[in-house]
Amino acid sequence: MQTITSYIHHIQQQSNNTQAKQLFAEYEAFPIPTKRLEDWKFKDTQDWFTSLYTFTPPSKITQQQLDAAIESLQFDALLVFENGLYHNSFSRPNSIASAITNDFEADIPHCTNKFECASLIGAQSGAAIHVAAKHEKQHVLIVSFFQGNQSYSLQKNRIYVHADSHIIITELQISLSDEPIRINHSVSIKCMQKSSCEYTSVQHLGSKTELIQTISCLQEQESTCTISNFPISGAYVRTNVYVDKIAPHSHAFLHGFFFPAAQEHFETYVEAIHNAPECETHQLYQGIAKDTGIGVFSGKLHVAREAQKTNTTQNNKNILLSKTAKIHSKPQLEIYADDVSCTHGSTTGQIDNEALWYMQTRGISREAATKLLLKGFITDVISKVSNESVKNAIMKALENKL
Amino acid sequence: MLTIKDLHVSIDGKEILKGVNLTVNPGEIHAIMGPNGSGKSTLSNVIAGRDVFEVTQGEISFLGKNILPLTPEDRACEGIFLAFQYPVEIPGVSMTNFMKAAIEAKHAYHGTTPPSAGEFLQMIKEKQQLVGMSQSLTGRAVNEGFSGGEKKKNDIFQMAMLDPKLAILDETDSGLDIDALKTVAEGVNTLKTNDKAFIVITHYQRLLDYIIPDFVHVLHDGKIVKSGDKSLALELEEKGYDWIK
Repeated sequence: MQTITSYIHHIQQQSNNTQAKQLFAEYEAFPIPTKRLEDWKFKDTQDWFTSLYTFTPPSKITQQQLDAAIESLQFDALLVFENGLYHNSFSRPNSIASAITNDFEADIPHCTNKFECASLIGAQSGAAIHVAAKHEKQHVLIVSFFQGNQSYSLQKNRIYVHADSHIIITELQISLSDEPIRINHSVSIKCMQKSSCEYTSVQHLGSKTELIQTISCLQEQESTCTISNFPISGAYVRTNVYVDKIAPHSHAFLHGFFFPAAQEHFETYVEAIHNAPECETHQLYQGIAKDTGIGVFSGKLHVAREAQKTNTTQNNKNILLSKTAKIHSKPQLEIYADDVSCTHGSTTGQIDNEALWYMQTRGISREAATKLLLKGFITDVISKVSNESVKNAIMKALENKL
Repeated sequence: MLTIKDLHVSIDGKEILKGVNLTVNPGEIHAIMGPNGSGKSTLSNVIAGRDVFEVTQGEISFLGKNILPLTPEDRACEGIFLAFQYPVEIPGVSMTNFMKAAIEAKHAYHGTTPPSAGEFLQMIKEKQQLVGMSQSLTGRAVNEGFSGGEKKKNDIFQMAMLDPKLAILDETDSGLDIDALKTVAEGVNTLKTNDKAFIVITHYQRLLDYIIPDFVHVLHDGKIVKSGDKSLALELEEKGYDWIK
């Protein structure tokens, strides 16, 4: 058992790779996130750095568990991981999707936060998806399982989508037990010219599992990137979405739905950087909170001086179902260009009583009307997921929570 | 069919209805007129079961059954329909899902078998034609982005689908242009049969040119102060409500 810092310190010392050393320097430079830092103020994560963990617990998953997880889903390739390690026998890789074998690749981006640094240094494996130029669209399913008392799982998924090619990726993150588990994942996507990538991340985690992940995407000219995240269950799930546009006409569609219930705490932090002109980013994040659940949405948009004719929208709508549930919403715009269209809006309210009354006068019970209304609210976001089988599975999981 | 006896209703301690008596028989159309604030909308909401209003005295029976203890949804299933002054927009809920839930609820209440998916779609098609509602509207979310006229027409379409025994039209004419008014009135006239009754609540006589009432009641300060036939509406139009006070 050791701390995350001593674990990754050991890895970078063993490695001859200069990149590992550079990443570790970056890791050291980031302060440990405390509630005094604006971007970390809703959850104390200091404990992540002081606790002692097991990093590679013995494998436990069974074929039945995998079958149950992927039942009803359609895909072209399947990559299975357990506590960050690739499962050869359960996976069905193909020519574009396999596991990372070499530790460090040439163009690893700089990390955007301390957790991402740790995962880039410490993860031994992850999905490696290379979509060659002009490759036709496939659906790659990544299933990542977690188990082990006081375990800490690190994983890095690397996705390269070459010019004129397209890919759809879905990652399911599943806890196999209710033991205290911590997960730190990073996903690096590079969309080259005229390519498109849709990445959907879904969490089915145990009541003591905490997950922090960073999904970052670097976009070249005329590329399209769609990133959606749906935390279904877990003690704490934080997704950082980071989109960086370096060439004109690159567009991003960022969506998410969070539904914290009981003691759950779900956060989504989005940052879209517009460094090139005529790019678009459209954010749609919605939440429902009940019991003592906590939801956080923070969306930041940065438009550089040269990014003229930027067109962005940002929309966050939330519904509180109890007096003790909380949702914090923080839409932010930072604009240095003077010819842009950037809209943002955030609403948090209760369920619409007028709509319930209207439905009741049509014979629909208050309970059924509430469900219908919330289902409609969820559908707004879920409809953005393009794979039907994934869309239905997420809808079903969220409906079960109503 | 509907009997209201000495109905007193208050909201937040303020008495709005101060002893309303009304009897509606099958096949009849009753118009309730009155100035702003006389309690017209309160009366329609109380019959439909809105719980923000407190019934302090009196009774409402429908088809011989005391409906005061019933929830709004149970009253709807019993056959009472309320067309809204301002139909509510419900984003994310499609018209089809909304109607399906309503029809299924009604069948569940009566213990009957709901229509199959095919029968249901056929029914939507027929009723749409009946009330002259365009097909594109049923594919959309309930009332979302509908014009004022489309919303009212949608309420009449829902009435056709649910086939109530008593329909209350709460100021259905407000905000409608003359063409939309005619379409709504035509819808009501098409649905009218000998075993159905209508209560039409309105400010103006205008709507009653198209929906001819059998009885006209004037509500003033929480009481029905005058009742008569359709000529009463014309008289009111001419003399104004001051005449009645």
